[in-house]
Amino acid sequence: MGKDIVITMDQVAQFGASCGDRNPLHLDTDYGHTTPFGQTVVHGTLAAIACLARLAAAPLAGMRELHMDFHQPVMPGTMYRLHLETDEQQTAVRLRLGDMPVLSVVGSDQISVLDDRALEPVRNADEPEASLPECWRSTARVLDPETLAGVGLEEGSYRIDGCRMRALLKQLGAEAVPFHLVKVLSWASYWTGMHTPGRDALLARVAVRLNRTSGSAPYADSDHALYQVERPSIHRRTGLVSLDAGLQLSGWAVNIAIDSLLRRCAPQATCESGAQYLSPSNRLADKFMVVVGGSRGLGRAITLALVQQGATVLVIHCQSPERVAEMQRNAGPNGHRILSLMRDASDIEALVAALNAQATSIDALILAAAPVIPSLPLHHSTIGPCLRYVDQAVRLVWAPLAASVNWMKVGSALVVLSSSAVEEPPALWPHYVSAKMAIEGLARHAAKQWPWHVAIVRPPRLWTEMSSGPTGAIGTIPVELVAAHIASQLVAYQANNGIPSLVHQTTMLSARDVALPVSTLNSRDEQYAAR
Amino acid sequence: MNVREHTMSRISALFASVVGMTPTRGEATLPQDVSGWDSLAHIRFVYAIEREFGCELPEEFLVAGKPLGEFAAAVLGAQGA
Repeated sequence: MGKDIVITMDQVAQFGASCGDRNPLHLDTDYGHTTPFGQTVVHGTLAAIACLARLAAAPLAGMRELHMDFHQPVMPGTMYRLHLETDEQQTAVRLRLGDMPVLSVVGSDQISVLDDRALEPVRNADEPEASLPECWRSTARVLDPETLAGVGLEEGSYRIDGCRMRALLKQLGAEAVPFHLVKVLSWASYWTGMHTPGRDALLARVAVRLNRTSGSAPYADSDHALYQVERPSIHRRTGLVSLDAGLQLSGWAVNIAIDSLLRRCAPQATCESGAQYLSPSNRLADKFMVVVGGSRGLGRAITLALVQQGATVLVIHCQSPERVAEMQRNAGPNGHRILSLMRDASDIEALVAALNAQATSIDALILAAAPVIPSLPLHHSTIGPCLRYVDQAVRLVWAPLAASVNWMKVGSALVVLSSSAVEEPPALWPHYVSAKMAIEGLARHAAKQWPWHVAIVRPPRLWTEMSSGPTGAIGTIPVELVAAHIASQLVAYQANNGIPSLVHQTTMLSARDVALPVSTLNSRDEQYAAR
Repeated sequence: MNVREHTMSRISALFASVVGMTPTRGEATLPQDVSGWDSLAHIRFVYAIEREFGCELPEEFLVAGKPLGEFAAAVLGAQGA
């Protein structure tokens, strides 16, 4: 039988303050907005503790081995369903959103071998008790693959704020979860989020083996623990970081194996990277263009490509003034032709006022803003978030288009960014495909009803900061290539004929007016071109 | 048991260790056949294979989608067998 579970942002904050994992991905709303999740996420081990809270005290007390798999991020305020499965050998608690696995916690009262890794109990160090918050890092360590590969064995003492943690457990109804286990999971969160890999970590798996110790513990009846962390290993091509650690705490020697991902930043388009695909020119001189969502990802690449062709571009962005300033610097002598307008693109009244103040005819409107895409299965429990996503995504196109109508003229261009996902819908993106189809419908209406040239662009998967995953650029095409195609087509657009142009990946890769440097065309691009 | 069968056997054992389930359709098993074979598990699986066999799988194997049987051929290819 399933039970519903919701973890609040307040509980996330309490957990961070109790265990020391103050990674901004969990606690900093502004930072969360810049990640592929678009918001802060729950500490994985907090969600695991909340899952364990659904078990009875007896099996919890007898647990000697725990395996936690973090399939999807847990979002604060989202309702998940918890399923319990037990047999003679193990107890499994699985967290799901619809039928999508989010988190699995499998416990056993038997010791087995963890991933074939031979783990030794931590040595009995003789260290003074650490006090809070001195034993915690104040900010999350930032490691790249090179520096991470140089990290050696690390050891020290750790403690949690036991009083605060117990209050949180009570609030979660998790008083029956053994406190030594809470300490272990707290350390795993702290170490992953604050030390290794640190700020850019994403927890993937934690395996814990609990061994009773008969000797006197160094810090009996305290919230302290001693840790020893072996040198981590990293799979450079994916950013997968694996480490083994030993913890010693009151009455327990604990072996922990942690797998996490070192999230990688997608490269930002620059004038230089864009010039590899489209040589600078003045073909768009004296043109005034508006790029909504033009400060990052594909929108940024489009902005820079247009400016490099001589256009003046008004970038409408949500909260990225420093990004636009950086783009202006990157554009050098052309930087003054990048104009910044910080507005919520879904706020029609604010946009109308801003464009009226600008009082300039728009030669081209490029609608590139889109919300971050959460994974949501088609299920009765996800109707709310799916429809909210569709509403938000459509507003980000509809509002700026409606606000611009009076400033568009005969022959203006309207470019709407859709996606190849409408042709091959991904399993967990029904909301995304629905939103893009709605947006395409609006574009078709505009092509029929207004004297503009309308283009619907369906780029394939791109590697941007909003879509950045462990496989990085694999299976993607560069944003600069799509931007170059759009910019070159804006030069050549002919009179409106009531039907929108449909641009998809094959069109982009076969365009003769876009330079495709051989050095940037790897096998995956050739595969796309061959389709 | 020939070299390919032996390699496949070791890969299946790694799969069970990482994903926590046995491949339901043998060599024809695809990610959609196993609920735990998600993108994170896939990366851990690839890393486990590369560590076990001391080789680097081709880039296209980093993205989930290929049936399990193709991993054996990829390992043997990467090893130059």
